[in-house]
Formats: sequence, C-alpha cells, structure tokens
Amino acid sequence: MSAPGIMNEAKEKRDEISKKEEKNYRQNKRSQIEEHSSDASSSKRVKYDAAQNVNNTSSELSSNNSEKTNESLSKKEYSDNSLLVIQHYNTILDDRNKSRILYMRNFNNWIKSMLMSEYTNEIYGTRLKALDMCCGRGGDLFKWKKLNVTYLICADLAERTIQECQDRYNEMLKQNSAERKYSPIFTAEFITADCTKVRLRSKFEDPSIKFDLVSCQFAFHYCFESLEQAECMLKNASECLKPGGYFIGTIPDAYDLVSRWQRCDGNSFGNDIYSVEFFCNKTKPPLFGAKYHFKLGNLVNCPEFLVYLPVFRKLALKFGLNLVKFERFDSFYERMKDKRKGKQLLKKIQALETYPSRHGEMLSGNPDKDYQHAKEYNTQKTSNRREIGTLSQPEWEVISLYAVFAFQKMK
Amino acid sequence: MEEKNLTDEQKKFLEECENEFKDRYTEKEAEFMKIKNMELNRPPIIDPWYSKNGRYNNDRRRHFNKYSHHRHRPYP
Repeated sequence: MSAPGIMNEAKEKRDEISKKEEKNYRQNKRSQIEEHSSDASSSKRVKYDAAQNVNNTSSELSSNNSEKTNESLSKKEYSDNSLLVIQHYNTILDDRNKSRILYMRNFNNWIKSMLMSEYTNEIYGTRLKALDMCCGRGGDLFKWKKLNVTYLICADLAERTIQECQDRYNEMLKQNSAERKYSPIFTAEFITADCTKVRLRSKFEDPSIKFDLVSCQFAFHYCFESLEQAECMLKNASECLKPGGYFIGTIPDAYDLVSRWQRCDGNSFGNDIYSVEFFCNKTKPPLFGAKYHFKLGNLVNCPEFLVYLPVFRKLALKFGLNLVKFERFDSFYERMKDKRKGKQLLKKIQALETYPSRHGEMLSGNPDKDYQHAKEYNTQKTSNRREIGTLSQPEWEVISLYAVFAFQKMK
Repeated sequence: MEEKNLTDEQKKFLEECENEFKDRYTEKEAEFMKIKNMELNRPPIIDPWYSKNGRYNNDRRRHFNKYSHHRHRPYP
C-alpha cells in the first residue's frame, strides 16, 4: 500500500474514533437529560424501578438496607405499611432505560408536567410557592424548576429518599450556576415525615407560609387506609394553601379498579406487566381500608387503598377544598395532546414509543401481540411514512387506570 | 378498619357516608356503571411522529442560541 493510502486509512480511523466519542458523549448527555426529567415522585415509581431491577437486586443489598431502615425508624410513628414503602424505596437500582415500562413512565411524567403547568397557569402572581407531598426521590424537581416556582417544600416519609431528593436539588443548583443562567433556581426545604400521620406545618421553617400549589403525585391513595390518615393528609394539603390555590394529584380510579375486579372471577386480575390483588369484601368494599396489592413486574408491592371519589370529595370539603377536576388519564391526554406545550413535550421526553421500531432498536413490548392497534392503523394508512408514536397495549391498560384530580381552596 | 380511636365527629362522618354511599360500586350507582360499561379505548397514536429528530434539532438549537457567544472557547 502506498504511503498516502496508509495515511488516509489512519485518518479514517481517527475520524471513526472521534465520531464514536461524539456519539457516546451525546448518549451520555441524553441520558442525563432523561434522568432529570424522569419521575421519582412516588412510591409508584419505586415500584417501577424495583420491578425492573428485580433480577439485579442482590438479597444482600436489600437485607442491609432493610436493617438500616429499621434502625432509622425507631420512632413509632411509622406503621407496617410505611415500613413496606420505605423498603421498596430501598430496592431501587439504576439502569432504567431498558425497562419494559420506560414509555409508560415517560407518559406518566408527561401527564404530571401538563397537570402541574395547567394549574400554575390558573394562578395569578409570579412568586409561586409550592408543596410536594410524597416527593420521592425528587423526580418532579425539574418540573418545578420549569414552572418557575420560587419556593418549594418537599416532604416524604423515607429519610433516604429525601436525602436523594436533596442531593438532586444540590446538583441542580450547581448546574444552574455553571450554566450561568440569569434566573436563579427556587429555594427548597426538605422534610422527612409521613404526610398521613404528622402535621407538616409544625416542621416548616416558616409555619405561616402560604402555598399557591400543593401536589401529591401517585401517592394520595396510601392515605385511604383509614379516615384518620385521610384527614391528616387533607389537613396537610389544605392548611397552608392560599384561598384560590390548588391541590392537585394523580391516583388510580377506584371505579375502574373495581370494574375490572368485578369482571374477573377471583380477586386478582392483570396482564403481562401488572397485576392487582384485592384483600377486602368484593360485594361491598369498605370506604376506608379497601386494600389491594398492585404488582408491577415480579415484585409484590406495598398495599394500596381504594379512594372512593364521593367520599374523597365530601371529606375534602370539610377542609375547605372544592373538587374542580377529576379526569381519567386517557381523556386528560386527549385534551392536552394538541396544545402546543403538550405536543412538544410528548416528543421531547419520548412519552410515546416509535412504531415500528427504528433500525437496530427493539420494541419494548411483544411485537406480535402488544401493538395490534398500531399495526391496524398503519395498514389503513395511505401515506408512505410508517413511523407513528404509540404505547403498547399492556402499558396502556395500566395507564388508563389512573386519573388526575384538582381541588381549589375555597375563599 | 379500626374504629376504636375515632372521635364522635369521625364516627358520625363515617355513618353518614355509609348511608349516603350504600350503593357504591353497584348497578344503582350511575357514575360507576358509566365506567364499568365503558370500553377501554385504544392506546394513543400520534402520526406523524418525529421524536428523535425533534430532539436532535433541540440540541442544535442549544448550540446556537442567543447566548452562545458567551461560551468559553479556548481554542480557535
């Protein structure tokens, strides 16, 4: 081979390497972005992580963690259920991207973002203060930042998750100053407390604080274990809310859960990715403490409780909260998907999956049976473009169980 | 459900609810039947869908935004 030929070859190799590096860099960056926009706000999320990492979780790790948990929970304020919740938090490991339910999680994040922005837009004034009850590992921090909140209080029952949430916030602070953003990031306060048992107000730095918005994502249903817990939760939500301010959140729709329950013979139902098992009277579930286990993947999860909407509404009214919206995820999506922000965000956070999969990628679900709707749609289509955004059927069956709610504090 | 530690007011509230919502999750409850008889609608479909392209453009825009001249560029 001639000398110029060798040189060319060497150059090509160099180019190839630098291209690879660039690609790696981009991928890293992308995963960072996803990390920030991803959801950690709930025990639900814990389930997702735990479910997908069930194979990776070494028993040693989890037993160590539960020991630690027990130590840190010497206070008697935690019930068995809270302990379970905390244990679930501790089974979290990373590498979420290959998950079967990645798009479901992204979609749930989209719902939360849209809900939060819908109700911050309703509020007049610029210096927004918010309370995030059951904030988990702080997956919503980035959303709060985007909403230009100036003060945020995060509360959750697990010390470890609150610590993670705080670390995440500090990371955001650092990044913000590194990027020389002109707008400063919100100030935050972190509280470890079970919102269903402890009066949060007494733990605030400034107990006279007034919030514009209180949010409780994928967690409110835990308080319907008993009337006392539900009252405590609602008191926490309402007590420091400004008149006209909103209490928003996401919960499973009890009507849908019970419908599916009644349609099956026994006490459990589900599909490839989720299953629900009830532990209460089927003909007349109690108003409080209507217990079921929600299982995602292979992991049995913390008990959850049916939130019977008429009781929720009635009880909230006692705390000055008036129900202004209860909307199932599917209709909320229909209403929001064509709005400018909704449209952009769907794509930005990949709230839907590309079907058919791109070259070299795999669909997250079973390509033969989970995408019949998309297959049908594409065969009826006249245009050449085949790529559409959608979700697999099993994921949609889980998503459509949930609903958003919004209460307004009365004047 | 534990009812032993409830105050009178709480007991009254529960009693009231039990009366008011005795037909919960049955055919007599219209709101419930609406959901029970509803067919599960299909997963969402967005067409056309340019998810990855959109992100790529976003990244590019970030490099050439109005503050890009503030960036630290030690090498020409």
